[in-house]
Amino acid sequence: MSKKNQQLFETVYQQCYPMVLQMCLGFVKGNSDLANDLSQEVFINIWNALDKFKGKSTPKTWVYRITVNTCLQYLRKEKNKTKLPIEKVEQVLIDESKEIDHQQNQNLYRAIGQLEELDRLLIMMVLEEQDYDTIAEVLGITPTNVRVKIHRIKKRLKKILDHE
Amino acid sequence: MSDNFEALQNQWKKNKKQVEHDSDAMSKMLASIKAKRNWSKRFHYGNIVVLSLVVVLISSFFYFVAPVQKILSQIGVALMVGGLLLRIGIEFFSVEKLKQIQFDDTVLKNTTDTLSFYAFRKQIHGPITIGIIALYTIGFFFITLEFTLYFSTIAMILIYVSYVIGAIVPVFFVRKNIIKEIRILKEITQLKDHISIA
Repeated sequence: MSKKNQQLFETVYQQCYPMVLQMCLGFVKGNSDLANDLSQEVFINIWNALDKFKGKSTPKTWVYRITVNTCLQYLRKEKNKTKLPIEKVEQVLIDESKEIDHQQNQNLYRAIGQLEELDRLLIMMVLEEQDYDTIAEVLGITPTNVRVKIHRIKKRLKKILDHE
Repeated sequence: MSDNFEALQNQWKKNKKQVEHDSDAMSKMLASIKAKRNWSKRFHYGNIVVLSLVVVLISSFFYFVAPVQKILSQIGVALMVGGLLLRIGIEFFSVEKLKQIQFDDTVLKNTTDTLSFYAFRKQIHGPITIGIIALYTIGFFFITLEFTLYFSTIAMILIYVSYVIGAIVPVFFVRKNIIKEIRILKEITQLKDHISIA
């Protein structure tokens, strides 16, 4: 790998690691082992794709694409091994001792985990404050389509949160 | 709805800040990336290596240990080895097709390419593999006709029985893979619809 790519990787890693890990955590319903494994897969795919990064989209949009695609592929592989229990919500974060935080995180991942796979990823991009155009660019669909989907997911999420 | 969602968003941001403090994860990540990349390469080419070894083994056996004399037997060897070579060619093609699935494409394009890959795998594990097993079996049968000149009936029965038992294993795996791939195909098709339909 060239020095330029190595530097690009390090920059992407420093800037995007928290986002990637957190999306992975949300996707695998808070299971820290799986989330770490999955975030490694994401960075392997980032590493492999570095040569092709031409800057047509922003690095962040590019990383989102790789993250979403990797998550969707990963779960397919993982389904052959084991089912992900919603109850098993763990934390990978440093401050594990704070019980309140832990409970709130459980609620967060439990709520997201009840959505369908793609919807989980979509809502996490919204939580990441990405606009509809960026999400549309990641998915390869129109912003109008994204808007409709997000509206529906938010309604579903509200139902989930109301029932808790 | 907005209150709930804002609370969720605040929790999300709070979590993210805590993740950011992990400092020496970078070097660990790089090490595991290197290890996993190597493993992935080995996994992709593993089938090809195993099949190539079988080809070498069978070819060596019929060349050095038991060179068959009759034309029908030679056709049999050609069918057996040819079937395996065909399978190796298909495996190479499959690895190349897998490489075409780009993770930095849009999710819709990635899903479409994955769908095409699994449809191809379904074909491989279905009619193509069954065809290759059939070729291999016909080839084996052709060779055993010459074997009957040198082996007793009991020995021949043992050879046939062991072949049938040996054939059950790949047939079982083929069936298992077909079921798995049909399920995956169904899931990806649903996912693609979910992405593209508003």
